Amino acid sequence: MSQQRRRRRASSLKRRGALDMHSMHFGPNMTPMVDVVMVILIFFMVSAAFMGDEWFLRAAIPFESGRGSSVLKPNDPLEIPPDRVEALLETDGQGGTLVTFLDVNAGSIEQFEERVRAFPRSVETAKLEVVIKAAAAVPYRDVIRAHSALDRAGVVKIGVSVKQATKPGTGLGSPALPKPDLLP
Amino acid sequence: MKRRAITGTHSMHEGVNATPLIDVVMCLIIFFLLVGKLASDRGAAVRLPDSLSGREEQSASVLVVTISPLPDAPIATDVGTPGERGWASLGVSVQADGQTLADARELEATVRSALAKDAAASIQLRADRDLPFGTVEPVLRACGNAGAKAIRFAAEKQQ
Repeated sequence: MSQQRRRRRASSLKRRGALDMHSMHFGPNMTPMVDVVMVILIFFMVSAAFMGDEWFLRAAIPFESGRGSSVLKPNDPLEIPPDRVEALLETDGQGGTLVTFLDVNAGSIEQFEERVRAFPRSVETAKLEVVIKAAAAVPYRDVIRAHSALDRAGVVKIGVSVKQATKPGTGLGSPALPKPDLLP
Repeated sequence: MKRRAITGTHSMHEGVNATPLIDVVMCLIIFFLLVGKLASDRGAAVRLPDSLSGREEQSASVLVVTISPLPDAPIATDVGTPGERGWASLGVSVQADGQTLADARELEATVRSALAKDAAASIQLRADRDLPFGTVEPVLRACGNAGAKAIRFAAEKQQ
């Protein structure tokens, strides 16, 4: 019996010791804080990994005719920009894209890339303005490919041409459609 | 005896143990934040075209315009499409910052308000690589009509 009592006393003493230890440990509890900070760190790492796999190609939006704001000012008939070249993109009917650009006449997009790669990287290239005019059936992928090739060649001013809509305010609409309510 | 002592201490601590609960709830909150952020940033999931060159985004305010093909609609191009029938008539869905837009007029209004807030706002265009240019062109036209000087085509980094 006495032994049991002694053991009990020992355990209670031990418990009191642990409690004392606990109350002695003042200040903030670090463990959950570290836990939360860790999760936040992983969150930012994951979001950075998701966001970092893409980049952007800048293009002006010149209108083919009529009004509209654009960097290249295509609607002033008196102003003829000297270094302005058009790259025409059309389809060959079998899913391929034909490019007409400078001396490349209805060539493949590979030919276009090769022609553009031959540009010397100089002040002249930086001054050059290239407008990509793509037909409606050309895949968007090839428009970006042409843009990317020009960008790599050092052409800074690149525009993607847009046809003018008949009625201001409606983006959808073909110029061929008659609009009787245009006149006030 | 020792065991009883431990359970004794445990029962002294009343109520549920909150620490693992908070931990799990925190993880769930962060998971949903992540998913929500990805969903709102990227709009619909589109397969971007590849590009060997490009620049990182520098502008602080960005309007993300997403063009993705509708799953069960034929793709039509802009040629001869009458106006005011909306993007669905082209077989695509157009979203601006995750909100689906009905037609070009809505897109124009969205772009205009983004530019009114910040004139240097950059407009990012995320279009699916397999779309014909005829579906991208009306979006560009709407942006141009709204006064956007330039547009940024999003492309996947190609190594």
